[in-house]
Amino acid sequence: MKTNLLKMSLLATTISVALVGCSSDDDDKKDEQPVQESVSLSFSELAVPLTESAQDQVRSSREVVVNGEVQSINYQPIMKTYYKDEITGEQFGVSKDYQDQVITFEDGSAYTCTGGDEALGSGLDYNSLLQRNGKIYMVSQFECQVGSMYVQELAQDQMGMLSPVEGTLEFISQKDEFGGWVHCAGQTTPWQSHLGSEEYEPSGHLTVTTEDNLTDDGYYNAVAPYWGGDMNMASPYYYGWTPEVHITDDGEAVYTKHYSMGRFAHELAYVMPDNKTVYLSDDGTNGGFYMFVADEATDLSAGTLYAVKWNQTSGESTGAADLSWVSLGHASNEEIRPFVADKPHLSDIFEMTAANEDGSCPENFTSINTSAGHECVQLLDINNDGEVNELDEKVASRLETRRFASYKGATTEFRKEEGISFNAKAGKLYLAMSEVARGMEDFARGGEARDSYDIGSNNDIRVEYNPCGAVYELGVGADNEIGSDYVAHDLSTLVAGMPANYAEDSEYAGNRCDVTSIASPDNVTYLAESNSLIIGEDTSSHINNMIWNYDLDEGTLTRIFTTPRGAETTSPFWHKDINGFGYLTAVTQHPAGDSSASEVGYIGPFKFQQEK
Amino acid sequence: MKHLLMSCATLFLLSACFSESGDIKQNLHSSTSENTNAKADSLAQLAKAPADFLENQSYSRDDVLYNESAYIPAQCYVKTEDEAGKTYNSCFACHGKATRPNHFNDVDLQLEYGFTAAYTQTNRWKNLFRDFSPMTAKISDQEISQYIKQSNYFNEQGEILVQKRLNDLANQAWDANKNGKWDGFVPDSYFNFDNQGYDRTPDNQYTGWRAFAYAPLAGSFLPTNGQTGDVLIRLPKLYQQNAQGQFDAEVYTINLAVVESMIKEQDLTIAEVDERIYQVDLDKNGQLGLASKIKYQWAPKQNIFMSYVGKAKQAFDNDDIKMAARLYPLGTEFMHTLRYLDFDQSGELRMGDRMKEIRYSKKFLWNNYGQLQNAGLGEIKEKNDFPDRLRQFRGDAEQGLQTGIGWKLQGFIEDKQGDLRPQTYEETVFCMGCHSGISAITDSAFAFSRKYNKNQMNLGWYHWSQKGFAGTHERRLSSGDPEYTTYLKQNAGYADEYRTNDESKAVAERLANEDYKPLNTDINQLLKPSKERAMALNKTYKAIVEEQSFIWGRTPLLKPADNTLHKFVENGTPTGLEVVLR
Repeated sequence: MKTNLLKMSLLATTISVALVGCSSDDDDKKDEQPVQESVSLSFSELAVPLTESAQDQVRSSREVVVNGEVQSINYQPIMKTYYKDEITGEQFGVSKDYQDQVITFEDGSAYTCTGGDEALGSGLDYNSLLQRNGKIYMVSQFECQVGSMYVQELAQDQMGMLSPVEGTLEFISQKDEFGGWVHCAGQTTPWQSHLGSEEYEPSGHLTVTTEDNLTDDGYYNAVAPYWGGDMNMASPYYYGWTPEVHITDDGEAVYTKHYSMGRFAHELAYVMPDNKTVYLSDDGTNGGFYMFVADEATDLSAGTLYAVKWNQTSGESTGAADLSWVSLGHASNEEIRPFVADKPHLSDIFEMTAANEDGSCPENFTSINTSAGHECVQLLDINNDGEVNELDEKVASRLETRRFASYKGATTEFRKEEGISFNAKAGKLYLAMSEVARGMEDFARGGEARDSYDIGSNNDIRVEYNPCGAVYELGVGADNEIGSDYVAHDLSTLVAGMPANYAEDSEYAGNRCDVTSIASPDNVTYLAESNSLIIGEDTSSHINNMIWNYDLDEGTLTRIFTTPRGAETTSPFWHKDINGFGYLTAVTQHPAGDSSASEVGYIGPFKFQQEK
Repeated sequence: MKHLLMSCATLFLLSACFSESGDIKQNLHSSTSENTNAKADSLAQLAKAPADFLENQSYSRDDVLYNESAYIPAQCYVKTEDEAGKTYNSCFACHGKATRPNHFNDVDLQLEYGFTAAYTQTNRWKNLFRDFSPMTAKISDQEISQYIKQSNYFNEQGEILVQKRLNDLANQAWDANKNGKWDGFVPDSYFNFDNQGYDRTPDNQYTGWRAFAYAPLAGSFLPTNGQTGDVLIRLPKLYQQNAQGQFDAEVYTINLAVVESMIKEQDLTIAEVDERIYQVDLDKNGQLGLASKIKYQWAPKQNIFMSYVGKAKQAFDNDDIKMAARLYPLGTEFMHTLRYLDFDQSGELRMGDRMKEIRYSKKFLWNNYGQLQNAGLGEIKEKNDFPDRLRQFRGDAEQGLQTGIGWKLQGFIEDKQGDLRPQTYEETVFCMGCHSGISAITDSAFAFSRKYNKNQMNLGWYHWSQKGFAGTHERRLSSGDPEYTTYLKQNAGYADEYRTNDESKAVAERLANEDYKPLNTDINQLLKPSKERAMALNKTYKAIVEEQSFIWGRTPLLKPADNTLHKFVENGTPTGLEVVLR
């Protein structure tokens, strides 16, 4: 029951609806698109849950008015982990090995990406709805080290309700590109493909060290079942990329790994309306922020990668900056893949040496500070052509993107970069930062002096510590030199969380961020042509995760739903027009109850076309 | 995972907890404006160790978890090095290499303090720094002796007191889900054991509980450090029944042996049974006949399975139940009582009739190996992504808190008058850090994998009241080294983590002169405290009971652990220890 309540509550996120069209292939979409209209939205605000029963339920804003009309919408599940298609024999969430055979554990259980008590641990993370061949395909990705992907055809009835078509659940093989890894958030691209992300790339220094053919990194070793238990067959460089899945005219799911877009802790790759410019967020500590500009629209296999340089204009609160972009060079999948397949070691790419006592680097070594900490690096002759040149830079820029960005002088000081969304109406890109901390501080951690995150770096970002995080707003415009109309040029704080220290006798005691504002923002979703930015939390600083509507006109936050303690939703994504119906897809992880597997579902269907 | 919050399940509730969510009306803006302005960096403040941190604590019991990291026990704050640089390793008892399907490898916690969340760097177990002698001086020897001998479990008619109190909902606050009745565990053992360790009702029926002898975990759990106790196991009725669905003690006995074999991954000696009755080749000798052992062979991927007998065999064959190495059957229960230290007429240690605590756990969800691995890896990712997050537990104090890997834990503890009451939410959180998230547990439990079997009375199936520690051999570590001996050697002769048990140090010095040989064959040498020490420990614990200050630490120490326990220790501080593997 709680599960359903959770799903029900998701409707709150859907509530601010825009009447928009999708820019997609004409072949696959109706020719007539509705004219984009501004939408006014109103929500009733939820109180902070205080009682145990309130804290263990999903509670949602129930009064929603869209352009003066109340719509009847609901949460509709599509599939749970473990769903079995009796016709194809496939089971949703089961991982397969490098020969596409089902992986089983010693107890005979199939490797299924779901956690203890079906909650503790990773699971399903994102699904896209693709319109191709007059059909609807759902591509789903799982967040385990052996990260599987599945495609499923969906039927749509006259009321717009979606349901799986039996006999169509298929496993998407990733074996041609070394398998999938920790798939995180994703996007349904404007050209109706599924764009994913491989988070937390394993370190390039890892090698097999033990007699049982494992490395000394348990997190990386978890991919061993994919390679039949033999980590000699794996390489850290196989993982940390951006996968894409297309549906062909024949209905086949075709999987690609975009080595062109670099290797780091991909949280999300977000394509801009030109179908060429892609923003890429890098989760973790001392990460970068990247932009990829493809050579050709809708083809991400080749292009130029950039890393941002933060030129601070204000250090007050969570700060402001002008942004410039450091080119990491041009590369294609075709150029990079052979170097990945060659299974290099980090020491083949960079020579490293100890820093001098004063923190500087010896001659000929460049000082960098990334998620790996402070290092003194020297680029090596990776391709063994006798010289260190732009070809080596090309390889390093993709295989060791974060280190290379720092090496080139870009900013690698971001902390927990998460969701991205674009507001075409205002020309603003939104970027969530779960916390403003560590490298983003000025030689500090948590407000206390510490040099480890800034030593040897540019120390470009020197803003105030904010454990509650912030959502930044980036101004976007044309840049002829870069060759994109969607280049972010400045950044300011849109909304920041507020640390709080509630007294023990306060009814809000236990919340470490003010209950009237955000804490640890994660997913952000702008609803096109509206004034509404939805901000989801993934926090420990509010007793219950909350979802907020940020009114971009008024600058106000409205709490529109709260999840049970321990529950969260991941990767909500708008599918605004599927044969006239709109859907907000989302995955619910860790729903309450004794047994509840992660589930894909949607809020909707919405009718975008106003009845005339 | 988010930080913990005390739920309405607690005993002492705020009235607000009773109101329905729909009734909650508030003006957010007015109620939080002060906090908005304060902008205090609460995390950083809490992380610091103010000199007066003890004074900052209070007895208040509202809906806020006082110690938000109450799942991290005081042992984790032990100073592993003294001022002279001498090292003390008591960490290895809990932290080491994990055996699948436990994936919580924590060897690193022997090497450095792993308080990734700044909040947890502060030790909030105040009672361990206190001198209880002013309070214990007020308790006479006679008073404590009478107190511990008076049962708070049975009344004079032999009825289980706590059953009535729970069923009558003696305190409305126990009813966490506010449905007007007690939905948690109702203690139902009569502690009336037959010669096979089976618990019997007054009219001689089986309760399903079975007592077993086990090697108490080294450290605080040793009787010399404060309490004695017992552990009972119960499998679901399915495992107690023959193929016809009737209770059958031999069937149950065999199935418990199969579970023990699976938990230990060892062959197991059993009393001779006729396999033909059950149509199971228990000793795997290729034929059905008389068998006196359970042969452990389990490799499902090679189609090699173990088998239960009776109704459970049918269920397993029908794939209705699961079986896997180092996992208990779904529905397994443990009941674990802690007692005051008492002595029998011959001067041997015995369990006090008064119970300090009843601890109860039940496996309510089956997790397969894949799920358990994912749970372990998820923890690594969570710590990496959100180091400041504290663990959060589902459930409540009434129906138990959930470990996240299939078990619910719930407990009862003495109230001020010495009657057993359900533990509060925070007091239950105290259980969670040891019963989940560490390498030393086997499917969330400690004792059964440490059960004695061959060369012991009744193959280890007996209650401590039937046979004490005297003559019980020392358990061996995987290295072959005797466990308690290793502990004493690693901890400078102290049997307790806090190095306040001077008596144990004197015992250890005496044992060391004989290369610990006497201990190898008689753990009583170490486990049994002197009567004087036992009396003092009982009084100290009684003082804590009178205060009801369990959330500040329930371990009775006869002197403050100021020199041996950190009040604050920074994450990543090296311990200076060499790794000892269990």
